[in-house]
Amino acid sequence: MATAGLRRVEQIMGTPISVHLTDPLPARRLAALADETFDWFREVDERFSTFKEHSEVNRFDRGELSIQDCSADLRLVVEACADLWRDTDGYFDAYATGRFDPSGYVKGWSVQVASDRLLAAGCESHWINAGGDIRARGGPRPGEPWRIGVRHPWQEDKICWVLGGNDFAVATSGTYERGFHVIDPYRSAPATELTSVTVVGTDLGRTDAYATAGVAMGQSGLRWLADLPDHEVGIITSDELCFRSDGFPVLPTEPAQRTSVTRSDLTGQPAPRLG
Amino acid sequence: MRRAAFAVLGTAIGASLLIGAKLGTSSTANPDTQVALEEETGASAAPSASAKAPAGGKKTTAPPAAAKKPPAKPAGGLKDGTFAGATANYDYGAIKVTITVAGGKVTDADATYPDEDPTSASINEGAIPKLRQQALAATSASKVNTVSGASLTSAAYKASLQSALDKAKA
Repeated sequence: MATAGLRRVEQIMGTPISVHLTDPLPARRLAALADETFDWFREVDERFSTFKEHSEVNRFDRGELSIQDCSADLRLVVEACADLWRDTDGYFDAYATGRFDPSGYVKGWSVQVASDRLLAAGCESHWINAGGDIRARGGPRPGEPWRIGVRHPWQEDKICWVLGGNDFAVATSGTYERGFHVIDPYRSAPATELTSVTVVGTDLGRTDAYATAGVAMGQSGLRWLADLPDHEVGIITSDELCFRSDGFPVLPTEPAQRTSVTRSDLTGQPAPRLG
Repeated sequence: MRRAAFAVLGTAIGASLLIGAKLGTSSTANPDTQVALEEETGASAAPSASAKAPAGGKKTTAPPAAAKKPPAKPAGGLKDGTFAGATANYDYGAIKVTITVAGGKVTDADATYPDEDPTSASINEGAIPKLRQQALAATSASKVNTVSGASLTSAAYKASLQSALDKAKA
């Protein structure tokens, strides 16, 4: 599955960011586009990190910077966090830690902006993966979808779904990687019932926030996620039940499963859906 | 005269309700008192014998039930195929559940609702989570371009599937 193009990984914002550009552009052009992309992530880290004392976010949080004096980017982030707080019934909360910390939105949003900029610069085929949250456009070859695995929650070297698409945002939130770190703001306790929540949409900032909110909701998140307009979901509960919405863009995984389809065909039964 | 009849009827209803209530409470109270008694005997046995006594008492009742169950499951193994359940009626309309069995396991379940009545169908669509349940798969990541997962830290990345994919395709 070797794919041409440029592939690069850098550690920024405390997370690995992988970028793959596959447009048939000169190598130097692709390298310049990758440079610009990683420069953007370093800029976001400087301005939005809660760990850097003089970041714009920290100055805003301390009241040294009024909302009018904020950059357009920070104003947009503040407004988006307020919208998401409302849209998730308060389960996505940028003030959950007692201070303004929009990190849960900034990562997805910054990847979305980077992908939008690549597209505007003529790079129509690429994906960016920031610590497991992905924005993908185009494909590995013309007419082929990107194949994105969803990590198995209990087997770190396996995947449980392969998603396919030419223009989508995929975000997964869960309890398995950093422990039970998603807090239900209403109980002030870690949410444990949904082990892995994957949301597919077109805006990665929003998609990521929905996945986090779904985990925070616990069992009631199943229905809330199922009813999300314009988004598709795949959920694995702590008791290993596996759910997905009808439009969740799963691709068939292993051709070995064909045998059961053949048998069903022979017995006249409708083929089981093993997507 | 009529008034007196009503009064008699009233007291009769009242009395029957009281009796009913008493029966109701006594029937629900019984298990409670039984539980309390069990606990008391357990507690009284503890000081006289060793601390193991209450646990031993419980075990004598538990194993026969536990021993009976496991063999029953393989005997009633699931047949492969697609099965539709009978239509069940709920407050918001009818629901029909269909399951698919492959290799003796339920691989798919789907709930549908008859939509002759458009109002009831729209209520149903809101009432039932539009999710499909399926078996949790575990497959190799050899044919994917990248992997989505719960947020990776820089430290966790080194041992991750994503790192392996990045190395293989750099």
